[in-house]
Amino acid sequence: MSSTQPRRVTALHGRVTRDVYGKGSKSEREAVFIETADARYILRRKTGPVFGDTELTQYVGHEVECDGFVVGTTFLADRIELVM
Amino acid sequence: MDDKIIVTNRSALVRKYGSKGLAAIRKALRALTAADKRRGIKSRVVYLDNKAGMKKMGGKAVMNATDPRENKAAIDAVFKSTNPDYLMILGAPDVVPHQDLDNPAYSPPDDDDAPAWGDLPYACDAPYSRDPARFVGPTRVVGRLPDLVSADEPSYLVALLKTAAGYQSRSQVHYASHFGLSAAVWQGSTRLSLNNIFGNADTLLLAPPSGPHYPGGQLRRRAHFINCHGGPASPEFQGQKGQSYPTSLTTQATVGQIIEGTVAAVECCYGAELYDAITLAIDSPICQSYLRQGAYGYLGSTTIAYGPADDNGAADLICQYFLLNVLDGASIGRAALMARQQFVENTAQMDPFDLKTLAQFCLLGDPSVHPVARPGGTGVPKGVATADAEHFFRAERRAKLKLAGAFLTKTKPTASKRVPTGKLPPSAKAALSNIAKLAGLGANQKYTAFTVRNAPVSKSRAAKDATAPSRYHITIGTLGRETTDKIKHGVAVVAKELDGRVVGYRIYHQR
Repeated sequence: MSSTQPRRVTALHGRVTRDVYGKGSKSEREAVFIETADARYILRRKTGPVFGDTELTQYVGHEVECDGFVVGTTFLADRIELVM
Repeated sequence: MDDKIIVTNRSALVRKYGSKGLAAIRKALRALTAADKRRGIKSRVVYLDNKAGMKKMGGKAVMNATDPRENKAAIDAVFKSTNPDYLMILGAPDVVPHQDLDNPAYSPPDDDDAPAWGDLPYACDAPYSRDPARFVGPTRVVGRLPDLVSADEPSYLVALLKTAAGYQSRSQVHYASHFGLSAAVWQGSTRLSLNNIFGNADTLLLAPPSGPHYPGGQLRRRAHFINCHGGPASPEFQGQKGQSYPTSLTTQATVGQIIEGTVAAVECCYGAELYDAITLAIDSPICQSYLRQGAYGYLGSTTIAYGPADDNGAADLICQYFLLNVLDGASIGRAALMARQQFVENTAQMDPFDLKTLAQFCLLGDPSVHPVARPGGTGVPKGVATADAEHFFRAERRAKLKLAGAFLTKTKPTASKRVPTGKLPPSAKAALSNIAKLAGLGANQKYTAFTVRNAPVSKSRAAKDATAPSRYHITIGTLGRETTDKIKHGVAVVAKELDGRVVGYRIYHQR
């Protein structure tokens, strides 16, 4: 058991939102989330910066489908597509 | 009698590296134990999954390599049987897991670390538990020399073992010139920390504008103190100025820049998280880049860390204590143990944020390494071998640390258990509301209550302890002011209650 075991997920559907993460901590910042029927994850692109990834802005407020890894409460995406 | 025990899991190593890989690791381990012997330290490797070996030590072999409970019980048996001066955990959490302590500050989505992963329980005599309040009295010198999670060839681990085998102590002057890096918004806190450790903060670098590359060679100093943002499974730290969060350091930027003998204390959230970079196909953690390049020790956090805005507290303190102890000539393992003890000792009661801090900070590196050589105050007469004298002095130090840890276990009040807030007197309600407003939160901010578990006390102390807070109330929230690009600023508040009266509070600003 550890925090280090990523779980591969394909075709994750959810709505992308923006909210504050880590209130009161050394990590506090506004982050982009993906909200699925079951959970809410911080959404990151594998190739993007951890904080302030402007590429993710285009998805905020939209439904998306992603492939990637769940690592704790983060979804590290290698594919994000808008669902029309 | 063994001075240093190296614990690992043979079948987990074979699963990762095959028998050929294990042979390479064992060869490197033999070189390390030989080097230790030359330094007067008798080392032994113990495989926690070896049934016969564990039985001899009065314990049970680990059947599931990643089970925290099994590993804690096995390591406790090893410790009870051998009582070593140093315990080195060999491998990442997929070989020997971190312990899964509950995070008392867990409050999703604001603090979404369900466990505050760490190695603290391995440093304590108390049996397996998920309650961090059980582990406020560490007594053991423990460090972890990690391999890469999910690696299939052992060169990384072999290189780290080679560093440990070939280490050399240096005079304190080699660590006086330091690399100090801070998010610009936290410079007040970081300046205090650097002044406390090094007596000056003249070379403090602020991000922005600094980072992620340091062409002036600043990373090539041996003492590092970093107070920046960090994220889960991330090979980057970030600075901050206003709403800008530029990258302040990356794994890539450290390559070729960290020199042999470096010792780092890193406050960043997730600064010592040993994430699975191989499966994720991203750069390895910054902490592991440090070690690969010859760093002797790295103290950091596995999860979200806390500290006040312009003052020192929580993460600031444990990092400061660690570096101060290293500079004073302690082994990195003893420096980490003393830092934990000093952190608990200097905290009146361990509130939920203090408990998370204690649980989450881990030492990466061979705990027996002494980066700084300082002559002891006691001379050794002619005819007494230096190694024998050092054995004696080390035994004295360990006895003292054991007493200190036992005292903390017996006496330190802790607050890890949530309780219903119940009905508060109007004056207490008003006080909590005012503190929330003072912190910039709404007057109706919801608090969570934690009962204070007072350690058993003698009758003579009863009167004094009657003044200890009976409950803590914590809340984490976002400041009302919202900036143009919607970056918000949050705070965590801890208020102390004594018999229905709020008698004190602390505010942790966002870091």
